[in-house]
Amino acid sequence: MNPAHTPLHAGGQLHVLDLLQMAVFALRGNWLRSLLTALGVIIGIAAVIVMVAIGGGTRAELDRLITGLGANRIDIAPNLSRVGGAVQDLGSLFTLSSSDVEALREQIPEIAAISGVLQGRTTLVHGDANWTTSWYGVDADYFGISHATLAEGELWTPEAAAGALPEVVIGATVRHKLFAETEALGQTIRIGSTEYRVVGVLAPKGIGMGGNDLDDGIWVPLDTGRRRLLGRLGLPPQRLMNIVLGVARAEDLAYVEAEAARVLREQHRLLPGMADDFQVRNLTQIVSTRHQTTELMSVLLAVVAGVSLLVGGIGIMNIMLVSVTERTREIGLRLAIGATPRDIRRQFLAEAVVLSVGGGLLGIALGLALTELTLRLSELPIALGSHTVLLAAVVAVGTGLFFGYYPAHRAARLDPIEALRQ
Amino acid sequence: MSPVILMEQVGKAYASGTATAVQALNAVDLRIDAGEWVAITGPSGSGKSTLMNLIGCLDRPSSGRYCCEGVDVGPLDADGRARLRRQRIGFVFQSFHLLPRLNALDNVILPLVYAGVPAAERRARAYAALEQVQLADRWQHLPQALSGGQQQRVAIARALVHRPALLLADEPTGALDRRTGADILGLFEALHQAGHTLVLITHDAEVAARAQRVIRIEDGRLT
Repeated sequence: MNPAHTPLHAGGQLHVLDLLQMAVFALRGNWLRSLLTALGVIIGIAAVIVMVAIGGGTRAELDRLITGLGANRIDIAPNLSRVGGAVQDLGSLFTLSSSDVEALREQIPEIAAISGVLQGRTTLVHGDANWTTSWYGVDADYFGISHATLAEGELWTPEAAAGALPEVVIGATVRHKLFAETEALGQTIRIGSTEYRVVGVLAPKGIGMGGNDLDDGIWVPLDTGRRRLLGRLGLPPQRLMNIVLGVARAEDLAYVEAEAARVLREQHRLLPGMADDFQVRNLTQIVSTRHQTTELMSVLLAVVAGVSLLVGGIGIMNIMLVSVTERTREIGLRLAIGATPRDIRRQFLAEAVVLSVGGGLLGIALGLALTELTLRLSELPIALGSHTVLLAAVVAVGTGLFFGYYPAHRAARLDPIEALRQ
Repeated sequence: MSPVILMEQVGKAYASGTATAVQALNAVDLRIDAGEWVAITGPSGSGKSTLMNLIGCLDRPSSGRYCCEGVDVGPLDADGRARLRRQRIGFVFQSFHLLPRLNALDNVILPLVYAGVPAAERRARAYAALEQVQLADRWQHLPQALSGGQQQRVAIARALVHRPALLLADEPTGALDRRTGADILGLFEALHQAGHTLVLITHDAEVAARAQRVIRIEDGRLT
């Protein structure tokens, strides 16, 4: 046999790189059409990215708020009797007392932790540094209810609490303002003429719901606050400004809320028909409701993104079908010179995937740019993980494969004889 | 050694079993050995296109047996026939069928891409094939920048590049003027001299006369 006739690469296969190169080449030939076709996917993917970023950011923000507040927490505050916006009775500022705390603790076993709260503003001095901040007089339970943990040192001792000793736990901001990077534990802070010993520093919690700095404050035993810091205000003995309590199980929250109201009315000897002189609030519930609203918004946005991807995918399918019709002769020629129907199918599938992946990449870029813009122009919290971008890329490939399959299948089924005759 | 083409009692019917059934080929016996130059000729509608499609493995017979270099084409599916084509058959068409956006070299490379020939090897082999048809200096030209005769030469290079057992040409001079057509026939003659097996389908008796052996077909039968 003449060596010129030796067949080569009998088992050869179309290489994946060649496949991609051919797909890119074919799409470049009609680049404007390709770009317009990919636009649907570009917008769809960008929408997914922005949606997930904003949804995720809002969710993370709310999670942080809940954690900062302390989960399953109920707040009790005095209900000021007002007429036309003016507080009528100064005594109504302080309707809560330590005996209320005892009554609640005894009568409602579902309460896991409870603390009275006194608070005010004061100026702290350490060496040359001074800082004006809020002080809180609380029981040890308070820290568990509000999910505060100690970063350094420890809580004051029960003896210090009982003896109203000048010991203080400080927030991260206060620590930074007064001590900078130097050791804070064991140091003293002067308030008025009294020296307070720093026994602990709380771990940072960040910004609260009202935009306030949760780390800007000091915490002292309730009696220390009452006797040493509040003294000059002349508050009636045993009075409290607030009561906070924690419930072990979330499903008990509503029940405890109602029970607390009942116990307090009893304690305050309120007759039926008289208004409450206190208000019971469940902040966790408020935040949870907002959580659900966000979830719903995320679902709606996901639907919108899904629809736009569907439209984008149909656009790809449409153009690929047009392309198959337009290139019938070319397909016939390729089949005649050795492309298998499988090669043809892979080739058109590759074009659809390159279209959708190209659109996907542009969409990711657009989405990231829009996310960045949102971050700069608005207060909206943003959280975008790399897994979101990866997911978007996978969705783009999937769109191409799904909507490219039918046109590719049609191309592969063409009869080379018929196709060449066109 | 098996003949390049061996047909035994091959028939081809279209739309068989219906009222419009057409028997395009009837009991064709044909043997073509390696190194032969054969012309198949006949008036239009005689069945020569059908015969060409069968020889080129673009179609399969509805009856009888066709072996291409000993491989029975009958049981092969579309993928199997495509693989057979890319190993053994080089097509030359009347209207050249070059891809307009690829230059001469890339058009010639195309069959090698599907055959999975490594990229480094392709260019050298395509260039050698263009040299064989005296067009190596035009390898960068797009088809639209080439004359009809030059385009057909590129198409012949494309048909040769994977070293097929059979070069199958369907009216290769049909779209060319007499002088250019004569050039192309000269090229076929040179390829025949070099040992290639050629089958040329034409309705032109003058063209057919250039071949070593002429097979006539009429009403689906060889005469």
